[in-house]
Amino acid sequence: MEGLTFMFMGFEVTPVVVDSLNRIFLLAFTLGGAVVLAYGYGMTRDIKHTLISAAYIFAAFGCVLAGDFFSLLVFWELMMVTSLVLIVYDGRARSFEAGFRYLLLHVISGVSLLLAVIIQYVATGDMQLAVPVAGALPFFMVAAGVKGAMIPLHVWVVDAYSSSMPASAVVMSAFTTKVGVYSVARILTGNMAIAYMGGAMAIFGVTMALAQTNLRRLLSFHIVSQVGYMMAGVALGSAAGMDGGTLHLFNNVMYKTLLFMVAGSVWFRVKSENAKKLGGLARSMPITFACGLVGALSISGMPPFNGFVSKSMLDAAAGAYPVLQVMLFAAGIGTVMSFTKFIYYTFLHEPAEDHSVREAPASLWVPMVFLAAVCIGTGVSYAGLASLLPTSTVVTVYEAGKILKCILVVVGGAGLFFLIRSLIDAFGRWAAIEPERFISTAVDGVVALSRSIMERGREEEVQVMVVVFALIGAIILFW
Amino acid sequence: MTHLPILVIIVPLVYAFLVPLLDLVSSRLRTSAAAAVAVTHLVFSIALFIHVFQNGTLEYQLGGWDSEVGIILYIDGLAATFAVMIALGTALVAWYSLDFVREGESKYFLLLYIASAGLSGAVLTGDLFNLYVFIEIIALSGFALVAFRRGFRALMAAMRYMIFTILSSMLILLAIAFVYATMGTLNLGEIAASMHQFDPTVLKVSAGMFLVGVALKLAIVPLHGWLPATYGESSTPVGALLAGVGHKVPLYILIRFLYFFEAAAGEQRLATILLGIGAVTIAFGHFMALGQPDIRRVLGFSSIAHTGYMLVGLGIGTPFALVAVLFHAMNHLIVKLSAFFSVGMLTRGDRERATVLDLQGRGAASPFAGMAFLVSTLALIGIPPLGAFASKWALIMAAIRADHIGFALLMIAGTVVAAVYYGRIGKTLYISTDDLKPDRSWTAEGVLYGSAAVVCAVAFSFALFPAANRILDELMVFII
Repeated sequence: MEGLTFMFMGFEVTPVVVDSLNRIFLLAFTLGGAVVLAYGYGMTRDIKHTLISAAYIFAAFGCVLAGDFFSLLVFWELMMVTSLVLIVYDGRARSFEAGFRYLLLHVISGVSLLLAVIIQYVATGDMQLAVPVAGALPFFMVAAGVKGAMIPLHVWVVDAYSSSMPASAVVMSAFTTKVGVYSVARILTGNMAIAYMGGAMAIFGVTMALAQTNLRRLLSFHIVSQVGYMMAGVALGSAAGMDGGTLHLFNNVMYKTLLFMVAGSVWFRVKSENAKKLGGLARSMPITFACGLVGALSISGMPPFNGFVSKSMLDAAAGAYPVLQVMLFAAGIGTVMSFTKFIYYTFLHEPAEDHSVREAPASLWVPMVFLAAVCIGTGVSYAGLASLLPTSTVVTVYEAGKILKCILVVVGGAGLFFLIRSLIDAFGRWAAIEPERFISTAVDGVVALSRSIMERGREEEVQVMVVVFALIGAIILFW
Repeated sequence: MTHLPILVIIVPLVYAFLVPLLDLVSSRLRTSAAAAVAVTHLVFSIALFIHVFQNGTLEYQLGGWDSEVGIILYIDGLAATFAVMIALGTALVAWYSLDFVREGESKYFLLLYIASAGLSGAVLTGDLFNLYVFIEIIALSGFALVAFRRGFRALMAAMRYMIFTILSSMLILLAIAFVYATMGTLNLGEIAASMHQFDPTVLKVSAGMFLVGVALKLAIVPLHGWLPATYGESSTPVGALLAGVGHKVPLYILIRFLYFFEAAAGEQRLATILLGIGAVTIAFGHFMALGQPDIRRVLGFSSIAHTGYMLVGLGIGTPFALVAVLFHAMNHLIVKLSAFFSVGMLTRGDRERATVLDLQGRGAASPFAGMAFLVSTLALIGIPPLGAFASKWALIMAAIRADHIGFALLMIAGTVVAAVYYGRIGKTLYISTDDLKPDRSWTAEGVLYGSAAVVCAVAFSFALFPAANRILDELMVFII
């Protein structure tokens, strides 16, 4: 790998490398980054927030550009710190609680990466981004697992992205988990365990998403699901899988950011994110509705939107692994169902309360329309984009069979949603637990344990006795 | 140049004795002299370090008497490194105190500079008895400084600190008596050269007493009983002095006398002992920090845990590990000072109450102090590019190179726990409380800002300095 190189702490550090693998990530991050910065500023009108967002995006670029483990580690941690600031930016207690849990999980990710990198360095003697040695592998898995939202380390996604302010959620939704996917693509590829984990994430994500009524929680579970698709692709190790996974990542950054923006715009006008309380916004916010529809159809894999292209490629890549293929297919149906829910309850359903609102301001809908155009454009004509993929495979996805299959999935999924709506509502009530609360409870428990120990044994006499015993112990130890 | 070693000790001592006189002239003069002396002390220590770095080990005979009857100072790479750390730490504490201490400054500065002379003397001295004398000087000024904040709780904390320090001094003195009775000399070099004369039984008993004495001062678990109360109840700069600087002397003694313990226990067993108590200290320190209500106590327990890291490093025992320990000690000094200083700024004007709940929303009210505290906690957790990241990296690398993956895992688990307790504090500091309006009246303190900023900058520079590794390499040759 060629790149900018200098010495730091005795290592040859290569912070900037561009090669066939990361160029598609860079393109996705550039487009997504520019749009979310514009949108974030449009929503907050707060230059400080925009600057922190920019620092966070810079760190995400750093992770993807890093040409060695050391640079990767530094930017990995920088991304953690900057995203933490974004989460707690509004200073509400709820954001801080979510930020605290985010910090805990991401510190685990950071130190796992640190340990993995050191083990790798001691074993191989250099910092090259290479296949991990056996001792380092589990720690790389944990590091990438937290960032890439693998089950059960995914809780932070839903927690942080639904608790923080909407502008922060829009900014972060495009980057952190994608860096996790990048690290899998770069160093952990060819690992079938991760591929099946990806399939499980895809199904689990949509199932949980279906149960949510909070728009951002629904979208966050879809991050887990969508990242699952990408993981399944890049972890396969085949050229088709790598290309499908990375193209899906690019497309996902476009439509998932778009969908988060739609939810943010709805919140901006209505100040509510509860799907059950929204409704009828199609008439008052037509541009937002149109963009939401484009995003929903893209993520559902409807031709000719971009999700169709990458999902078809992933479907073909998983052909050799029927179980995985079925998992991704099932997740596809779930995706359609939950986005039917998203669109129906937000925009079409008869509103429970009267929302007489205006369309979102231009500073919000211009970025959305731009992303919607990208979603359609890269779906209709994907050849240019495909040439930037790691192995530049150009497959024909517009075949009658594939198109028919995807349309059937979309129509069938939407129909199924209306058919079993009451069942989904019942499931929603049952699945309304928030597992992240357990983290807080567990931490509080450990703190309480520590405090109860602190309150014992404070008498001087006891401690002087301890000294005497320590002395005897030391002499015995030396004997 | 030739009298540099003694000047490092004399300069603060002379100032301490001049304080009452200067006070008679004007308090302004006393204050500016304090700043000047702190800087001079630091400059002399750095000059000494450079001198030793270039010319090798230095033996300085006080008054020209030779080492058999006279007092000698013995400065090798290890001693010079510690001398710089101590001078840097005391200079920063003194500078910070200039604006912080508002009552009884003359007494405070007298005690602070006596402690400073004692700290420098303890690492520069070349014989065992003077080592004991300097330890006692540190201890005596330490009790008074802890009690300086007045109030019943501070007095009780000083009392407890005194009990444990005296216990520790007694044990060390007894061990020295054993050594003297066996060897007939107190010169460190001669003792090292004639270890074979030691009767094994006497050696083991005296090594045990010596180790427990040093461990008491280092607050190694389970001998840490005095530390939380002392840090929690003393005034913030005193806490910083004890946690950051006072901690370095017993660490130096431990490293200096490693050969002594090795002779008593055997290389293998000593490594096991150090690794064992190091592991217990890391686990216990981090675990207890979780439940502390007072931020300074949290920092105190975190110091205990970091001592554990250093013990593990010493237990690993490779030259690389030793350098990593020194590097970590240096970073820990800077970062702990920065943390204590920023806590002092956050609590100022509120009679220095520092329970986590008292500080709710304070981070937003005094943004600079809040940021300084956050940067120091990030450094303590070990986030790049802050200084403590580099030394934690070095320690973990040393552990893995020596195939001690379990200890590397322990250090990393400790980091996660540290993130939990600092995260909880940070959460409280910045959570928005409507009734707390930004109050700048007690934060606009130029000197406080200055010293905290310097500390933060230094904490950054340790990692950012591109030549850090080359210097580490040279230090490695130099110290061993």
